[in-house]
Amino acid sequence: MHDTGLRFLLPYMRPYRGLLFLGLLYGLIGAGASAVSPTVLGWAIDELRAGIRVSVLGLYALGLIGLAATLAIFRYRLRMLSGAIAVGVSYRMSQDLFSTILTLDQRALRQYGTGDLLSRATSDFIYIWRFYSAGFQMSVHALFLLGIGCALMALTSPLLALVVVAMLALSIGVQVGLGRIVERAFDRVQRELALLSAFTQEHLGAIRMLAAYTQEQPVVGEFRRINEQYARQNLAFVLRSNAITPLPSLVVMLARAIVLGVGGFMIIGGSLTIGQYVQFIVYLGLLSNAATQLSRALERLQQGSAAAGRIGEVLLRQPDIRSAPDAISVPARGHLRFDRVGVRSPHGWILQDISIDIPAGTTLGIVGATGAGKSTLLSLVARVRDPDVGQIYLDGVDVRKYQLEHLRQTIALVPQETLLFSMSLRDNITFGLAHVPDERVHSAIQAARLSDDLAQLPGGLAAVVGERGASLSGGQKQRTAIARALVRDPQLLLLDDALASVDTKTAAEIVAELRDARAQRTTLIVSQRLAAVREADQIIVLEEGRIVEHGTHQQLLAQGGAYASMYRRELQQSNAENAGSGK
Amino acid sequence: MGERQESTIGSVRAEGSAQPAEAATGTPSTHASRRRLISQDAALFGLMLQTMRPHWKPLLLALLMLLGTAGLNVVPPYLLQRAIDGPIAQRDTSAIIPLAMLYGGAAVAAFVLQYAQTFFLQQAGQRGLADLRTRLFDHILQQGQNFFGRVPTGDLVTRLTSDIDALNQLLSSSVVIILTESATLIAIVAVMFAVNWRLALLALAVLPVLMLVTRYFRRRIRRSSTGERTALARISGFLNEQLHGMTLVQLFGRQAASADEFDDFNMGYRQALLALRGHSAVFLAVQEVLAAFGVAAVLYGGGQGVLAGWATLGTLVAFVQYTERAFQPVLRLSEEYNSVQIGLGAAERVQRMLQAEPSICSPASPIEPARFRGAIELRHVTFAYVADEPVLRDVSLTIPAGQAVAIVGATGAGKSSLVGLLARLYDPQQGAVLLDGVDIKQMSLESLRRFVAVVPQDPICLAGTIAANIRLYRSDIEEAEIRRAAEVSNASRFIEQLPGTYDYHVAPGGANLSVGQRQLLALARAIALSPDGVLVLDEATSSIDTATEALIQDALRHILHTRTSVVIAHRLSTIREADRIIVMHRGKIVEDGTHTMLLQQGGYYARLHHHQLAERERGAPAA
Repeated sequence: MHDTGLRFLLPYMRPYRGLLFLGLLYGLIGAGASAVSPTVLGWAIDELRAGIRVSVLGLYALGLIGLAATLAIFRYRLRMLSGAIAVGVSYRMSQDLFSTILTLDQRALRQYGTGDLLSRATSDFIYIWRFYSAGFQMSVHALFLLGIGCALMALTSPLLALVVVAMLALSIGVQVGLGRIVERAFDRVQRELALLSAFTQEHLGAIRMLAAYTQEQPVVGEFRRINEQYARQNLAFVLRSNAITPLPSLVVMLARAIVLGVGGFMIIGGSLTIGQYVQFIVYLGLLSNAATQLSRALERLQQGSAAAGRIGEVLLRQPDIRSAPDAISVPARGHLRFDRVGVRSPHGWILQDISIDIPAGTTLGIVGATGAGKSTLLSLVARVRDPDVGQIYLDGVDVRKYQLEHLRQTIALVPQETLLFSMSLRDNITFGLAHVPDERVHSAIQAARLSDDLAQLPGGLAAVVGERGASLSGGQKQRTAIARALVRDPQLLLLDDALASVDTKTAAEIVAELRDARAQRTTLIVSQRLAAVREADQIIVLEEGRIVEHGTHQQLLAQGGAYASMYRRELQQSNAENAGSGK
Repeated sequence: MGERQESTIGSVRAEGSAQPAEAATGTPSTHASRRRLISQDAALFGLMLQTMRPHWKPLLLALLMLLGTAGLNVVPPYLLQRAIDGPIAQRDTSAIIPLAMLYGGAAVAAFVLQYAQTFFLQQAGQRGLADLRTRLFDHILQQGQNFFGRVPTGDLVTRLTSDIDALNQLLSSSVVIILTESATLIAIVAVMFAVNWRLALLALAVLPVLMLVTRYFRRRIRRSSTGERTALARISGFLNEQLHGMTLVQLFGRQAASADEFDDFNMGYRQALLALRGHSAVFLAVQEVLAAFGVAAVLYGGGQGVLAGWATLGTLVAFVQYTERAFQPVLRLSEEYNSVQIGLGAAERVQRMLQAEPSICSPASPIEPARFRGAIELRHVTFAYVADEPVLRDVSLTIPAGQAVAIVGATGAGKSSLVGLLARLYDPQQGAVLLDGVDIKQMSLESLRRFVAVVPQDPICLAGTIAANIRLYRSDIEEAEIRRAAEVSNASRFIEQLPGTYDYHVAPGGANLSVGQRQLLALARAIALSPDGVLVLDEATSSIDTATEALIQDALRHILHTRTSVVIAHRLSTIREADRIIVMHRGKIVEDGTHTMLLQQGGYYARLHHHQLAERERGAPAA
């Protein structure tokens, strides 16, 4: 996992090879300055004992400040430099990631899920950023500091240096070895939290039913149980982490105690000066900080390369749906034919044995219960997904043989779920088109019966809509989606229950408008409302993925099957409304 | 020093990567938050006090230990000074070992004390917050339907999870750090002055400067980190939208424009990151230099003191260490500022939610009828969801026990509201609903709802077995009753074909059942939980596959006549089964009678029926 991650990161680092080298140099100078200062302090103290002139003492003090200034300047440069690399790499990588996402087909998108892709495109980049900004920078500094510090200590007193290094190693060992325990406890906390959130979400969503059967108290009881489990795991985690986290610094304090004792004997024995003694005590603090930094830096490096692995996995992903190498462009008359088409899901067939011929310029109505496979049928035409069995021919050629962009330029699909983007109404309508003349936009708006609403909208066509913009009613949104399709003047128009939220009267007007403009356009209409399909040239009824009835409105009514009974129910409802208002 | 600083960027999102936008809104501008601090403090303090009062003993113990830890933090440099000026200066080897042991002992004692303090604090804190969380959940569940219509579920989940966790963070981490570090700072300053006031003045001279510098940089860092979070929130907002609409982007060929937009956002984020990086890198550099100034001042001034005799060498060494240690509290206290803000914000939201009054609750001394018969009466009922927009206007209606009533009318006529009133999901603004002659407001909610079973139009399923979905949390309902209810409602037909039958696991939201199957399950649930109560059914309008639809119709034919039942009917076959038909229009009952009576009246229902007949003659023979 980690190697794969690094494999993805390395190519992005190549342009920064020079900078990385410079960073090493800065790190060396900064860490050197930092490592020398305890020695200088030690010298000063020894000279103080020997009796020193105040001016020399001043020089020592200035020397300490100078060393700190050197450290500050070079470490600052190292930080800025690693920040620049971090930003550069993550910027380019996220551009590449988004470009890849733009090519993923629906199956791949569903496989990852929006949340997953979103976290790869945001939090994973934070790990990449930290890989360089903290991981690289901190490990360079800490490694040099540890190296130079240990060397200087060994020069002063090999015996004490040995004690210090041994204790530092112990402290790092404790951190690494016991860190696992804390991690595992944390994972358990996260699992409990996920359970708690899921429970809360589900039961608050079902509150109407739970209240209707007065199940609140037992639900609170169940919540308390899960909540207490969560609190228990939380407590276990906190107690473990609080026992383990301060252990390394305890080891360092004990090391100091040893240095205090052993060093004391050595001073009295004459093999160590007080200055050197102080130097060791200061080193212990400095180097244990460096050791902590190093272990954190390693963690960042590891997290960063894991994140790079997750991003790289998406970057490598090849969509199943793309243009064939020898793809052709579309002549587009609009003759569509389904030939024994089948679509499978893990739970069984979504569509099975679908064969229909839709001559250019005609209309097909598709009806059926929720989950019967209507939307899937439409999505096959635009190649949102490909069938598992059978072929779909456009003007006699399998749709998979066309250039994907060309195919999609001839098709406009209005999906069941209306989605408006946070941009102006005009941009939402001309979505994906460049330089659309105003007249075309207006005639699309007219055909989608959106003109009247436009007058009420502050800002008109320039008004920003979508989640963060002006709120439109469900019907207005759907009519905007229809205008979006019509402005493209597509050869094939696919409406997936696209009038469900539009009131009956307006829906009828739009259907009539479409019929007039339909002259040479092939139209496929999925609808819950039969009024939208009754004038279609042919109608199919889908049940559990199969065509169970096929014919014109009159023929299907005469058959007295599923279509006829759906029609009766709908009539009853619309009569209810008419009769009510007719009073 | 400073290694913590390295991790500030992006650390906020470690816990909330799924909703970065939220993390961004979690830190309001400093101005607003300061104002809030003053106005809300008392209420928040009250909440904390209330939550923590049952646990005051361990908390007090933890506080004492915390003070002890701060005291112990000061001991090691002091022992070092004693060693250098005592045994080492006097070349007395025998006294060194005890001092070294004392040094090690102080370290171990500090460790143990700190752990014990954490232990008591966490025991109390986790308990207290778990109680608060359950209390909040209980409180939320007591709210009426209008509350749930107003507050999105996502908000409630955030209150119950992240907000309480932020409170936990505040109490168990921020508060501890603030107290420990403040106490340590005070202890260091006190010891330094006690040991050598002149050297103390020299050593601490740099602290006020550090405080000023910290204040200056913290502000800028906070501002640029808000900028960074806003930029990230923008990116994820954009991505969220694009990912949801990716199919549209591809179908309409907008890839290039989207990539350009992403580039803009990405560039903004890049700039924000660099700005933040710049500020914190300068701050760290200044810290490093300032620390050196402190040590240099101790060396230069203290050195002269050693030469002049007003300081000892040991004191000098100890002060070098004290000076470095004194820096920590100043930096850490300012680091905690953000977490404290987030914690207080969370506390305020929790507090506000706890103050919401439940609109519908059982009376103090409910009337419990010995036996329900099932007679329903509405007396001059007027009801509105929003003031001045009544959906029911002065409706009066009497339904004798055992009658099956079908309610017919256009969308928005007030049918569903009527159903909500019968189960007291809402209370009418005027008038009363009576069950067997008793105002339902005078009954306990529990017995009312045990007797009035509502089946909504789009039935809900919980994750769990089929059996659990039928009995819900009522453990007193036995296996046999579940099966009987499933058989009466015809749900058994599909259940028995599922793998594992009644133990079949229903996916969250009932995703692995069809709409029709969910409807059957809801019907079975109503019968199991309220075997002889009033059935209130809102018939589904959406298309259900023909086979399941037939099962539902068949079940209704039987069920409607064994109890009082009120059905919002969309299907003619259901209306036919009813003893009585009520036609609603614009919040009023406009027709009321049997099928034959209403046909004779020649009104709305008659028109409806004629339409149907005419249509039948025109094309469709009888089904």
